[in-house]
Amino acid sequence: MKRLLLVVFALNLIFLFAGCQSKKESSREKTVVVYVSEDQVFSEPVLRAFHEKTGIKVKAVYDTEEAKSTGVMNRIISERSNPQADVYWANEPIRAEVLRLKGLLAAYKSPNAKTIPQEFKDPDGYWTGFSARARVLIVNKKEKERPQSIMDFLEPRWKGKAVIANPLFGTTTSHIAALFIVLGERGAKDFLKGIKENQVAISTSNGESADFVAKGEYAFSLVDSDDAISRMKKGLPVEMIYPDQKDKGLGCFIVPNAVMLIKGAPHPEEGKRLIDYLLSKEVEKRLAFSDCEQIPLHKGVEIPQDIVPIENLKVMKVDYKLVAKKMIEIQPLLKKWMGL
Amino acid sequence: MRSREEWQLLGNSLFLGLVVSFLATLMGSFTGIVLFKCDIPFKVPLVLSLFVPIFLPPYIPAISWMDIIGANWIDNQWAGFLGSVLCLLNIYFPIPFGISMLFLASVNPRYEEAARLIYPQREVIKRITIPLVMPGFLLSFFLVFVLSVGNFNVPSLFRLKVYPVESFTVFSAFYDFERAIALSIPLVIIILMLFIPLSLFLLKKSCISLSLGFKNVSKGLDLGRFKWPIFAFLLLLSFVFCILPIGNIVFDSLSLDAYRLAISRGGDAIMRSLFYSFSSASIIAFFGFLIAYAKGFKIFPHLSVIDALFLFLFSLPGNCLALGFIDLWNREYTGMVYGSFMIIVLGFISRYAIFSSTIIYLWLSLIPKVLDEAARVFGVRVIKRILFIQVPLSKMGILASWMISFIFCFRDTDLVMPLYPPGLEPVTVRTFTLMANGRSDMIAALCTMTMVVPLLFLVLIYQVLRVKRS
Repeated sequence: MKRLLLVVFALNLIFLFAGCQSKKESSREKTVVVYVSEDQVFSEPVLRAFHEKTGIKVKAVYDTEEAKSTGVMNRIISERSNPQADVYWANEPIRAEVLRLKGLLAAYKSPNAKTIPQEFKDPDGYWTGFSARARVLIVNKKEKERPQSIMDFLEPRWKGKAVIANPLFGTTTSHIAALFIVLGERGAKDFLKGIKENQVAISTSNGESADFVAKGEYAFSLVDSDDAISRMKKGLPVEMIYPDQKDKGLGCFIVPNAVMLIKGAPHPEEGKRLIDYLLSKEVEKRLAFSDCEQIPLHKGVEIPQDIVPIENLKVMKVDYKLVAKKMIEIQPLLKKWMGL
Repeated sequence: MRSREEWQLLGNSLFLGLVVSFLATLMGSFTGIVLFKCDIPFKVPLVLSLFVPIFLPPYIPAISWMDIIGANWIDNQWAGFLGSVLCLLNIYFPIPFGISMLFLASVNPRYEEAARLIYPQREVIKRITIPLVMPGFLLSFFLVFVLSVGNFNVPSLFRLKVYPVESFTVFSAFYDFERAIALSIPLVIIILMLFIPLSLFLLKKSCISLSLGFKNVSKGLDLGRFKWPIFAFLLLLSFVFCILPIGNIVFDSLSLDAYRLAISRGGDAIMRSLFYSFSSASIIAFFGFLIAYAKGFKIFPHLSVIDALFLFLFSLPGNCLALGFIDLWNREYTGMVYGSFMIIVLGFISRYAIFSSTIIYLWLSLIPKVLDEAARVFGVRVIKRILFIQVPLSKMGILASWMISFIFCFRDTDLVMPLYPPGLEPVTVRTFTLMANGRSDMIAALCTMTMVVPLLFLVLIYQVLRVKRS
């Protein structure tokens, strides 16, 4: 029995040692805790570069598609009485605004945020946008026609051939909320009704929508640009279309990343340094040249040839604060629309 | 329960849970009996292939099935229901399969030998063996039911509207945590209501006896003309439940580069998962035994309340339980626990303690009490009675509960996801966070390692114990 207990104890020690080996740190090492909604494959190299540059150890909690990218945000809300995170790197600004409304953010105006256009940051410094994704149409190449607008979801010729992610979660919710702003209440409700009537399928996520289109199960979908680009880079038969680029078009909904300081953060100074780094041109260039090919918001950042600069895109003009408020307002309607 | 829709969702969940648990118990128990008792060729590969899906978090086989079936196929609720049943059967089939084999291995062979003098072998199985292992079947049915009705990922992927969707939506889209927890209560109440008659029935069945030192091994019952049809059925099960969904994943991972990358990105997380699961399962088995013993010998009154509490914690959705843990432990003076691996171990213990307290209690109740009472009459102290009578006689039960706890801790995602301290994530979480736009061959390699590593580890432990015993 004693020997068995010794074996149990020894095995525990071995696993503990091996599991924590890579996480060894001295107690004096500066640390920053960041919660990240941006995909780990894209965000981890950036955080590693920050550590190499500053020597500040980064402890990260990443989100998952399985939790509809709301896992870390829920965690910030539930940890509000004793915050553990210093910084939240959100993959869109709408939920950042929700956190601001809940009083969970601290204002910080980074010097690197000065050259970021006003529409992509909070005027009081509660969150700042950087490296954006666009909401694009992903289309299977075997289709003879190409949809050019999100209104094509309502066209009879695409009946039963399109798919869209569950609008209760992720950037699809933000996009629908933005449509309520630009089309008005009536217009947006008609759009939702039309989607149902035209038998648009509902997937669980943008990633799944992109996969369905790549496999040819559906002709097109509305996804984030990184979902489309990653499939294109894998050589799958899809192409990406920026929707509504014509003169009177609605424009393309832009979803910048957003970074914010958490109120009551345990390491506020290190948090601010991380925010400064994330808002630098260096990070925007890195994310532009990574597989997600995000669009820089600073002017003059070097970009790959296939990225359309933000100034050349017809962008949907929305106030993200209004979109956030609208998103909260329409959630019950969307739930009902989903039949839940 | 505010609306008709919520009642309908609850009905869908219960129907799904009942169908899955009925089919899983029927197929798992039949397969367990056949593979344990009969002369079926290729037993070891068949057992392994049927058992392996239990090591994966449900979301991964679900994605694999979705990949195989295709989204177009799921165009209505009935298709979604069939897809969900198939996928949940795949994931939970190993529970009744494993439990039935475990109970069969523990039945006192003397009963069967005595019956064999009168009846042919098939009748012995029908009249003696099956009634003796019935508690195992019922336990399996109950476990599969609890796990199926609470599952959100699989029905969600197959677009089936079930009750946990409501709780998840309120949690993730509305950030209304109180309502999310409140919404999980009706399912918990139903589960508790099922548990009470089940535990009473299991107690009544405690008159059966374990093989006290007698090894019950397969006698290789000749199935006659049924041998090859049954073998074909098992092959089909193995093909549908392992080769199709798991083979799909393993096939994707077949490159050295994928494994090199998977080890570099997830090697530390695998070691951490082994540590979390090993230590949690050991603590669960230890306390489970103490509780089961105290309950069995009525050392303290009202100990069945603890079972109800463990069942309540097990039935709660993982994210709701995690919220409770955050609320309880995320305080200034408990930061050492909340910020370290201890919070994960505590979470696992709370969630999976029901396995050991139930299984070991069931096992202890099969051991004749006269052994303990005789020792007590001779003045043997309680510690010695536990160490030299109860532990040796219930070691199979302890080992089984340890293994089940280990597997469930290793594959857990929904509890650990909101709870893990920054930088200390287990391999299941790492796999999910890398899944979004990560290399598919690397993800497949990580999934394969998530299945193979704990399996090898359990085989190693079993071998060590066998060598020690011999």
